[in-house]
Amino acid sequence: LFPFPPGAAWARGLLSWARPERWLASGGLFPLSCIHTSTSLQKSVKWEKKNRIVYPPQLPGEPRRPAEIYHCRREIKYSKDKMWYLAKLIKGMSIDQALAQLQFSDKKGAKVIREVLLEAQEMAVRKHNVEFKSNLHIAESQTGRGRYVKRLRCHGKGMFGMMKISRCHYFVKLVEGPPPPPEPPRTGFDQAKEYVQQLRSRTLVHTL
Amino acid sequence: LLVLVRSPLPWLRALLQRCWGRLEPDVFRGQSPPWGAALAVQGPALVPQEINDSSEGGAEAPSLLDSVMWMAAPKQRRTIEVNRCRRRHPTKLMEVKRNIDVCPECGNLKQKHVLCGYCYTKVKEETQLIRVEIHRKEGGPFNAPAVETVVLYEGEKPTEKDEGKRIIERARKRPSWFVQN
Repeated sequence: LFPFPPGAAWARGLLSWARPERWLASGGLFPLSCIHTSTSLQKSVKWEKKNRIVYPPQLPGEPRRPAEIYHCRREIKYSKDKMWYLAKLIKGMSIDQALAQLQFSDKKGAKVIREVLLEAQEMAVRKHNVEFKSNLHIAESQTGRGRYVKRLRCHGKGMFGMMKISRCHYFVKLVEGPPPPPEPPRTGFDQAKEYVQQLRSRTLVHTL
Repeated sequence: LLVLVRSPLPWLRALLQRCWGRLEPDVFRGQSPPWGAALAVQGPALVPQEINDSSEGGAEAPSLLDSVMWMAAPKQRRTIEVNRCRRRHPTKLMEVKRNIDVCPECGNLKQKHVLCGYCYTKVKEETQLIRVEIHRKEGGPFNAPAVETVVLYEGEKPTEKDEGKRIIERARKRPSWFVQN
């Protein structure tokens, strides 16, 4: 790796040639959107790389940026659809509440997710400069499809069917701080207010 | 079999006339040849026995087809949007459990209507060791005495109440949860 010269001027100079407006002057498609940089069989390690980003030091007046910890587990022997329900359950909870809910859940994936959360909590305390291990909340929790394998399933009378043995990945992002307050549900009054606002913001087009 | 003779193109008309002439040479050759010759009787000539056989044969095939026709099958593929609406409906999502408390004895989490898991495993391990002691004292199967059993820990002596009872001794301090009578 060549050493990066510090300063925003260098970064601006680097990005000056990469102005997307110039490429779209002809009105055609954005050229880089058609390029595939990897095939479907290659393993994707983007989530693990997210832990390696280093932000520039903060200025004295800025509010403190909360610590973010990315963790995942690959090729879990469970269905991604069933795992999604667990991931949806713990989205937005504090880590203690999430661990409690998973401890008393009867699902197979709950045990796996609990291990992942405990690992991530330990990583946060050891490597990511998090002071209190309970001061974390789950910002993102997602599931992904792992490698599937097709197998024969024998039925009676010599009939058979093809079944697929599915695996999944689980991704979690922990952020330092208390969990954000839940959004209040949208009432009819809010919807009516938005509609009226929309009507009021209409302008006349193609006129003087 | 209907044959439409009137055609605007002369060459086509001539071609048709020639074809018609080849097929029916003794028909009157004119601008508009008459309609097709004799009416052909379509369908096989049915004999009464054959009717029965054909009807029997015919009855079996429609029944199979009818049963196949009556099976329920999806008409259209369910789109992913429709599938998502069904799979992510609030009734199908997992509920947040509100019956989790803290055990006053050990401080671990427990459900309100269930024994604390940690305390239960603690008690289970101790009873397993007591059972090992009992097995060692009895020496074999079917040797259980017809008297009560008392478990005594280090530094404890049998009282007057434990006169005729079998005494099991454990080489450790009495655990706090095992109250002595």
